[in-house]
Amino acid sequence: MIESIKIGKSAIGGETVGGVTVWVPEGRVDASSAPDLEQAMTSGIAEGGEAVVLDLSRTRYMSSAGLRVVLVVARALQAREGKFAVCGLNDEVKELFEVSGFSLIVGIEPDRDAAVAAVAAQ
Amino acid sequence: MSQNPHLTFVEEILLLLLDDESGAMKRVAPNVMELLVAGAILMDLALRGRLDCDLQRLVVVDSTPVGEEILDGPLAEIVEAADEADARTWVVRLSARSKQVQEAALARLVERGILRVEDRSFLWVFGSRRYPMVDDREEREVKLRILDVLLSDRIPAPRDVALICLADASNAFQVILSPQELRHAAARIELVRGFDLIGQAMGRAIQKSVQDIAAATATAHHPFY
Repeated sequence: MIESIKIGKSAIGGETVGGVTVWVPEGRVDASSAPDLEQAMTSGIAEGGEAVVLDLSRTRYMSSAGLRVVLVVARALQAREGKFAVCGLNDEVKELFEVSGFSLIVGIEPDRDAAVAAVAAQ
Repeated sequence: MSQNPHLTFVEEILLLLLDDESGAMKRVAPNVMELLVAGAILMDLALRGRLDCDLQRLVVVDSTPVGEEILDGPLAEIVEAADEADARTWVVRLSARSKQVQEAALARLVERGILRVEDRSFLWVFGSRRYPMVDDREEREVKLRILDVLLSDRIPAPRDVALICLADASNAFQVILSPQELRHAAARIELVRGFDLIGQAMGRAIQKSVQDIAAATATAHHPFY
């Protein structure tokens, strides 16, 4: 397990489950925390973690800056033929994904187990 | 000279709308152009880490000037605002700056050696200013970025999403793509322009403005007596 990274009001934890890297940002994923989340996730991809789950079950709020992290990560993984799923969205974050069309480009699963299984099966 | 390697979105969209040889601007309705420029400013400020937004509000997260005249004035206006407003409200508010911003952006493109100024006069009275292209590398790069996004299934970078929103709102695709390519890319444009919340807000503001003008015109043609 990779040690959680404490960043401002958020904590970003990355851990590996069956070859899938699971990132679990806590609190708010907005302009104050998004750059660090993006850096952590894209660094992980560059180091070979090309099967990725973004578990948002501990994320209370996501802004436009947070959506951009999802876009950048999805783009980086697509370029490497990697695998990606998002899970644990609360109603507000789910609405954001639907309104912005992100739900059409990123697999959304109800929970971490389902997301890890979906990524492993891709 | 700017320290930023990127052109601003206002500069990029102006390059797309200029006819390369004549330097004349492609016709965009004034109300649409005003809102388009405002949307471009907000998207630039968001991607430079100064603004953030969600579906309800737009907020300043860093009030440090970016060092670009056409962005720092609007940023200061948002910082000084007493109320909390959503992205669409800010698109409308900043549209009042559009003419001044466009002039400043064109001046910068001339200063960078991308465009040149050509003043023409008609009957020695009516003057018109045009901006023929001197160096088309930036414009070609912008067009290539757009084509790359629209004609592939690749997930676009955030800057390219913003550019697609602006090109769509200004009908610049009609200049870049053939009618057949445009039909082929329609669903892709629809998908990509949704990825940026400010781009969406700009689209709604433009749609409302166009509808208001159409309604006003219809009323003028069919007045109630």
